[in-house]
Amino acid sequence: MTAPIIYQLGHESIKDHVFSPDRQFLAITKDNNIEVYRVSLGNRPQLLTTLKGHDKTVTAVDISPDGGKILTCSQDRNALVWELDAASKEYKPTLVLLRINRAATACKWSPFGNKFAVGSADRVIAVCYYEEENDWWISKHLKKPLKSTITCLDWHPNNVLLVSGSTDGHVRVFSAYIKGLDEKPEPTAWGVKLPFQTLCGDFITETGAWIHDIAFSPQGTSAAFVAHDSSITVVYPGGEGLPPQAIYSIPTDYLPFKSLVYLSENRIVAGGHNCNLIVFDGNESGWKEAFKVEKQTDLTSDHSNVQDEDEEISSHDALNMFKQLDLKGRVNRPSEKGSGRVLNTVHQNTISSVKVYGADQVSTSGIDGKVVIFSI
Amino acid sequence: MEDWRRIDIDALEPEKHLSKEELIPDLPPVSYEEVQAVSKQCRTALSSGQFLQALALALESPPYVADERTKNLHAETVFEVLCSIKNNHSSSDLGDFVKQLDRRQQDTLIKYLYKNMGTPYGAKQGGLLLTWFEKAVEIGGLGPIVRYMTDRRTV
Amino acid sequence: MSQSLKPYLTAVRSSLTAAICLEDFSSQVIERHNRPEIEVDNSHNPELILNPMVIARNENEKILIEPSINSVRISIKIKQADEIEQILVHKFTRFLTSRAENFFILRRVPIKGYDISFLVTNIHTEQMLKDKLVDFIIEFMEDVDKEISEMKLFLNARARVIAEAYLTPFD
Repeated sequence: MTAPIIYQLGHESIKDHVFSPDRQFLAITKDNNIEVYRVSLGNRPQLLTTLKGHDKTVTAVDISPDGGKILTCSQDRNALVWELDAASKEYKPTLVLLRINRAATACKWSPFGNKFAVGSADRVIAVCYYEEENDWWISKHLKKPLKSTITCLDWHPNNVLLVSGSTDGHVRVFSAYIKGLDEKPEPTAWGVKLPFQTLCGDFITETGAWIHDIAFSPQGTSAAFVAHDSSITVVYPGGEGLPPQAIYSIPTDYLPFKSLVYLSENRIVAGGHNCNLIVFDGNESGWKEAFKVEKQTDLTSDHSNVQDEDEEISSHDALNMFKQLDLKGRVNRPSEKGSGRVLNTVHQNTISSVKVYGADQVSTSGIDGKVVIFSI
Repeated sequence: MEDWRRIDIDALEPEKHLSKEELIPDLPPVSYEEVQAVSKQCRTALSSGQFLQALALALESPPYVADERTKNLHAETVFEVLCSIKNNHSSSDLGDFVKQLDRRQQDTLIKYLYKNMGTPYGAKQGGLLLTWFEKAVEIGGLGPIVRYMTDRRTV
Repeated sequence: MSQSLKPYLTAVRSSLTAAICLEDFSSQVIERHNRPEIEVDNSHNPELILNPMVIARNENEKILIEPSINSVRISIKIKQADEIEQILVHKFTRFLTSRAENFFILRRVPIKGYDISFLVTNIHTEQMLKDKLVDFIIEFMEDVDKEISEMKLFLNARARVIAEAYLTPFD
């Protein structure tokens, strides 16, 4: 396994990041703006431009499959589609008529790039597509039976099915079929006839915890989601109108996961508040935790640096150490010169999003301002 | 009419919001008598020295959907079992008890530890509950605590 | 005494670590607002509040942790064995809360039944490292005990000196 590639891009939190399909560009959210970087291996990313158009925190960013359009959404209730203007070499935003009254929380391009979905705290999902005569993006709403903030979205590879997770602990699979835009989809295990707004599946976590992220497998045969109860769940559909063929829910000992991706049909990588990536392996007959990407000790018990383990400690330090052991319930060496404790993972704070970077490679962004590429 | 500024307009749009009732999980309700029966069984097991069985029994069927009285009764039962085990074993043995519980039971144990610490009788025995808590976290990690917080199936 | 302090603080540490898993979350009820959900009336979105936790060392020393999706409220009840300690704790917490803006996470008014409250929001976890925040609260908890007992000793010593000085003429 090669060492992870680390880009430290300031110290403000990065809520979402996305690489362009050719891995040349990187877009990250930073407060109310989006920063676009040119990335080449071995060099520091070079800031190309800052997209300013939102006036509240940007919650998500995505680049269209052809790499040409950047989609952003923000807590100011808007989503914008940015396109590079050939003449002025600048990104120009196009308005999206979302018709929502609360924050937009998640956005994703569909696999074919002809439409996208925006989730919102207004308890609707807006499915948006381009209307040529007016030069804007218009939307159709998926409403029922959503009753809480949408936190995450993902598209099925057939460009029609959309899965969403929300803070009421429900995972719902909808049809986002747009007449005149999409071709009639092949029937899948999720459903056969798919007019717009068909609810093809509704799953709930055992505990009713908030869903943080959700994904369809690369072929769309299963869907997986992570919830705030530190669990990860994989669902295999059983066919239209039937209960799912199998649901595997794995409770873990870690802090909740914030994000997950499928590396293949049989492997999932998840990361979150634990600051580390965990790999899960499985198939139709069961899933289990495989390994941690980085070595890590428990967050509550402490970690001492291995190198200076055998250094001489003065009696004063020793006294402090026992005091710490006794009073704070912590087993650690007194910190050297007040340097403070550092987590022994690359990310020093919560991992906010995990994306596929290449074969067996994932990129992560954290609220510590880092974007990291891990080889699994 | 003077108080129109204070009208809760969100309440007028009922189908948009979740209510507390909707968060209650869809599980069969448990009656007071059933919990009493479990309590009796636990006591019998304790008096015959089957500590692990008593613990597993108490943690196996927590009343998730029941009134306060029933829930409290079960919390007291669990508390009794925990006290009894602690009084008859050394602290180092407690870890073994926790290890022999399955994951679901460990999660439930944490739930009852928190619940009991919030009661006046539990606060008096804080040391005892904290010893249990320490062992449970040592073995189960942070997962059970997170699940205690998020679980809508409250005890 | 310190024997049972250790499990108490370990329990607080792990509970806080689990509770401070926050995210940026804008209000579902009011447009373009972003507010700590634990602090507002939540009759319309009960799903954003998690189960509160109480960790008690004994009747007089406990901590209440109330987590929600973007904020955690932590309330501490400090040990008060007698009237002098009660007065000292009251004065001490008053001193701190009237300077709350210097402490970032300190809440101006404690929750009923507790002596001092903190409010940690997602802004804090984004600017500071989470484990440092947890460290801070733990350190505060042990220091406040020490501080109060030191003040009590000091007060008693002063009372003795004053009494002696006062009674010297009658010697």
